[in-house]
Amino acid sequence: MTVPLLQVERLVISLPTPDGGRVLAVREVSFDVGPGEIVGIAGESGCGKTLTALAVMGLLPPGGRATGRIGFDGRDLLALRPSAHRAMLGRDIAMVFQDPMTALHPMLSVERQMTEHLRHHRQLSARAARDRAVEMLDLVRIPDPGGALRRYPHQFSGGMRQRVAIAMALVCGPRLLIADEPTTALDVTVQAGILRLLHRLRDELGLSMIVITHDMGVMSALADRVGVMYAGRIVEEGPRPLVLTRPRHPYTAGLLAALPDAGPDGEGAQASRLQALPGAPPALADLPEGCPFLPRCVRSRPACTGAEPPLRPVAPGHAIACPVDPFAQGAA
Amino acid sequence: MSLLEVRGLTVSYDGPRGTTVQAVAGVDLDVEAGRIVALVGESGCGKSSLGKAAVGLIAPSGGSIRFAGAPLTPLGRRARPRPQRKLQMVFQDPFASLNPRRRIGELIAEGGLVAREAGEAPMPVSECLSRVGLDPAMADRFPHQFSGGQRQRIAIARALAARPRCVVADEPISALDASAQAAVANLLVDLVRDLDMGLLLISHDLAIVRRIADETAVMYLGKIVESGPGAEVWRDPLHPYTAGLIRAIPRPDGAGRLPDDLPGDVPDPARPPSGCRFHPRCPVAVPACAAAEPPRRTLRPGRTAACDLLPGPAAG
Repeated sequence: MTVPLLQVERLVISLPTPDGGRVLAVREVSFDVGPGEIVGIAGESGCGKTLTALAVMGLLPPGGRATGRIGFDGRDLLALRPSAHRAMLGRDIAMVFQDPMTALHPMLSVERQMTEHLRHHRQLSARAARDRAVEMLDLVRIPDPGGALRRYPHQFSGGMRQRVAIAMALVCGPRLLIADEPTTALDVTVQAGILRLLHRLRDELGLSMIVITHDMGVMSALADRVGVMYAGRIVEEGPRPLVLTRPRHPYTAGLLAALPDAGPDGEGAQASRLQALPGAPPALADLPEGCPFLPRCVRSRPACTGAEPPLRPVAPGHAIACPVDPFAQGAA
Repeated sequence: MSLLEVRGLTVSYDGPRGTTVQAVAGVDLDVEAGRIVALVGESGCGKSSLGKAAVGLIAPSGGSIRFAGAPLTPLGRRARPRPQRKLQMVFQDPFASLNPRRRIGELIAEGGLVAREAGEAPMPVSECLSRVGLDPAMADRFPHQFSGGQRQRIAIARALAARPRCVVADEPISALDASAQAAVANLLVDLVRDLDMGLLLISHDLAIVRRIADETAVMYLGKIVESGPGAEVWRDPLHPYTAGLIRAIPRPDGAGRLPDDLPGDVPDPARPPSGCRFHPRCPVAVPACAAAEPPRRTLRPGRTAACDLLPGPAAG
């Protein structure tokens, strides 16, 4: 068994609240990312998936505190001094965002932005940095990479801009790429190109990735393993084909059943109703006793109001935070 | 005659350096009472411009829009003729469309003023709220006390207060989380059936539209390239653009299949390609496609497409 590149262990993230208290936004999250592996994290807004990624980057919002351990290549990132953690960004770990302009400076040419990284992290000469930037733009299939270097971010279409942001994230050769909703702002035909690109980069560069998405279609296209988060915890984790076709946690099952792909087609009056998941996720500051999914759960039992169910293995590499496993031997 | 009838509609904007951008380049569309017509396409295809022109928020540069049998007057400084107030709009972002300082009961009642001015009793706030699945007791709360899905319900309730006969909804579900999307989609179907409204549903999401729309029209660069019942279009697309669009949608089936790329970008609408607007990206284009713009033809009962390569009756 290969050693994971990234090992997140019992990560807890707390954030300050306006009234001076603290709220636990991520609770006891653990997962590994192996070399060349794509791990997808799914969940609805506010479930903690982006905060988890920001903790790996050392970019938590002001007042945010993380405890636990984030092992990267044998080092605990949470034990690093902020300056040492920051020095790893771009060089060892990089991130692409939903809006590529988060990472791109609107007033600087692509050349300036891409070579700055290289000269800072890799101490390359201007000429060598430029050559490397051209190589990266070519890798992400930007037409005329030499000409593209002289252009500014606004001169690219949305899809091309996301490709530039990916090239810039990878220019210093990081081993882990975190992609937070990398295609959510794009049209579906453009999204298809970016998904294919990310997949190819994993294959060609042996890159490890964390892909954060609310879109189960994107998850299915990219991820090798999937973690589903709810109210700050991972409630289901397992291999992509199993989690998406035989979900075992009622939240995962409900999310998938709500998708338009789940039911049969229909037209007009014959249209099959979509299977909505009732209710909304609980407020983090006001979690219910016991299982936080209980108010929306179709499988609830009296025991569910007691302690929050721990994540438990139900099959090799597959775990759920629910006492009821619908696929267990003898299950109803 | 349909409830909302769009004929030969064009919408133009002034582009940079004296150019004119035709966002909608000649569209025919009908919305009947009790039916959902979905208008699907990617950004820049002109679907939002069409929607805004259809309710009179922007003035068309050509063509005609008739609502309930009379030409639609674009919204301006003067009051709109009473019958036309029965045409309402719902926007994508329920965070931007609801005034955060007003209680939702006031916001909904304000929507009903339109009916009152037209000499009709608005739908009571409590009925509006219960029709969208919210507790009428919530009327004195503020928008920030609701989730995204609930806010979109409030925005819909506000449109309902005017007792509309037709609603144009621009991406009403795309800003919502997956679980809220399904619920709001079901709600729209219920309202259209129960109140016998017409609904023009503008969306980029063909996957959800096919489940709820009676008819789907696919737009590309200002034109409708294909129309038909949503599930049929999804199962058996006729136009190469529709086929490419559907193949680009990643399926949540766990199979790990990458969606197909549709190479190239949508061209600049200020300089649309000659002939068929899709031909530079079309995988089956022949040289003739660059010459003449293909008309939209009825190829099968209920199915139209604008592609000269498809077999079927000639344009009539």
